[in-house]
Amino acid sequence: MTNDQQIEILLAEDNPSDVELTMRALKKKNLDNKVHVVTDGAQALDFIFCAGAYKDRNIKNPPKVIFLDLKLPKVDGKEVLRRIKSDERTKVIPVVIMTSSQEESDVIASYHLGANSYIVKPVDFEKFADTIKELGMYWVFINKAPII
Amino acid sequence: MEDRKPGDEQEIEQALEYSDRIIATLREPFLVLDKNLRVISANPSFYNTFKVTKEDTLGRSLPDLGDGQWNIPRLLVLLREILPEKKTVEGYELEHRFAQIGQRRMSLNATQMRVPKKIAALITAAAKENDEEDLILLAIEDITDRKQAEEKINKLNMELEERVSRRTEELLTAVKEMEAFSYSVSHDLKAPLRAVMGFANVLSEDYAPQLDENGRRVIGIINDNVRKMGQLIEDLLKLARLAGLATNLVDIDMTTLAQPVCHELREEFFRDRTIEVSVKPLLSARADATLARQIFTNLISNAMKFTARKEKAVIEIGSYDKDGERVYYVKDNGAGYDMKYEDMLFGIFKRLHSQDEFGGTGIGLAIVRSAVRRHGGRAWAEAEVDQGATFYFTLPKGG
Repeated sequence: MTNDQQIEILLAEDNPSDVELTMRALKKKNLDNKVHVVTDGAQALDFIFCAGAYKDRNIKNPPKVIFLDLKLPKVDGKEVLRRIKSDERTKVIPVVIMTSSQEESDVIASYHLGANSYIVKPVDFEKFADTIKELGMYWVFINKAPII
Repeated sequence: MEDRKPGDEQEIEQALEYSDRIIATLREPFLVLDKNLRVISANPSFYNTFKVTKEDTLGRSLPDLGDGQWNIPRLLVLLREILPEKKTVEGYELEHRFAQIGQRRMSLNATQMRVPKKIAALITAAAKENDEEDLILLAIEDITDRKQAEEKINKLNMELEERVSRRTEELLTAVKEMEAFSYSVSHDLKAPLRAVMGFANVLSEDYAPQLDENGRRVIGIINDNVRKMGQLIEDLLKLARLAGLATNLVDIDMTTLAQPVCHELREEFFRDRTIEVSVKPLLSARADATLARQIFTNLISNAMKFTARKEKAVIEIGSYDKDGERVYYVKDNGAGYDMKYEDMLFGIFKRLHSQDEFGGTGIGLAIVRSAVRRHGGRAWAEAEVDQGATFYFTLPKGG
């Protein structure tokens, strides 16, 4: 497992193709070694709240940003988001919703739950790659993360 | 003076005969009772309705009539207690089982009236000692059948309401399922497409040296098709969402709505072409603004697309009222089509031109028709090969 000092991005995504293509895009900005991937909502919560397989992590060492798919196995993305944003210890962690869904209700619900950004993943790969690169650069290098 | 008296009596008798005739003519049972509830007169309808004879009726007390079948507590309350105080009662309902005719419901009008002794003496033997006599007029309407019909109607109405609410429920469920379906389509169909295109791209980036020109061409074809399929999914979703969308009907200035649509489409897709668009002053519609904009967007972009081969595209947008309908049209001088294929035109995935000639997913006009139907309107077209096409649709009139 990657040392949590280095983890800048938590990627919660169950589709292996999306994971590989996301990592490939991040690699072009040398961000791929700062990413930890979880493939369901339960793992995402364990990582964030330092439980289960991640019980040795320190909650005071959060990722700079969480890229969260809405449709995840076990615990869905909205529930993961709700739990992050309703806990004093984690609610300041920026969460970017990344989904294929353009449903207005999803967008509204996500922002109501406290999402910091909502990205519709484009089908077009080049647009997708550009989006990922920009997101990675913005949240890891440009945005000033809160101190927990 | 002496010879006037027989004349008076004669006049009174004539008046009594007049009132008897009126009573006899009534279609509803009618009784005149004295203050002891003895029957002074009854009309033929009373005898017919209650299957009793004149002999068994006249001169007898109402509670004693026909083996006491009129000994109805609620009726006696009316005649003995309510009437002396109120003098007139209308629509007093009661229900009773009669020996001859079974369970009946009746509505009663009753009036208590005081008549001078002279008249009382002529019509009842009981009026000898008083100067005046109180009589009761009782009109009886058998409302059994009407009440049954009313109850039946009420029952039917309730069943109908139940059925409507059940159907509404079913419809809402169907809409919800449709929403779940489009949600699933939008999420689950797009992800694999992104993967196909993404990995085709990986191929062209990482394996460029091993690919010859044909290999690169094939990757291009893969990408083109993925883009098309992505567009197809988007359009299908739009069509599916139309079904679930709640319409918000408002008065719309259609000129103000159509003009920017023309402008945006030209700027976005057809900048390098000569397109003359004239938007006539349009009649207002009462419609959902989002849907109305979608209708114009699809029809105008169609018009721009199918005029691509003309040196100068001419597109006209107008409206008129005909036969009580408010009609809007979008007319172009483009490729047109053969009217014999008209019924294919608004069908989903139906195309009258090859992909090479004019691009598109074949869903645009299906969306138009669905959006127009949501307003209770209709859409149709007129065209001729190479002579352009005109698309018409109707919407409710705006205020």
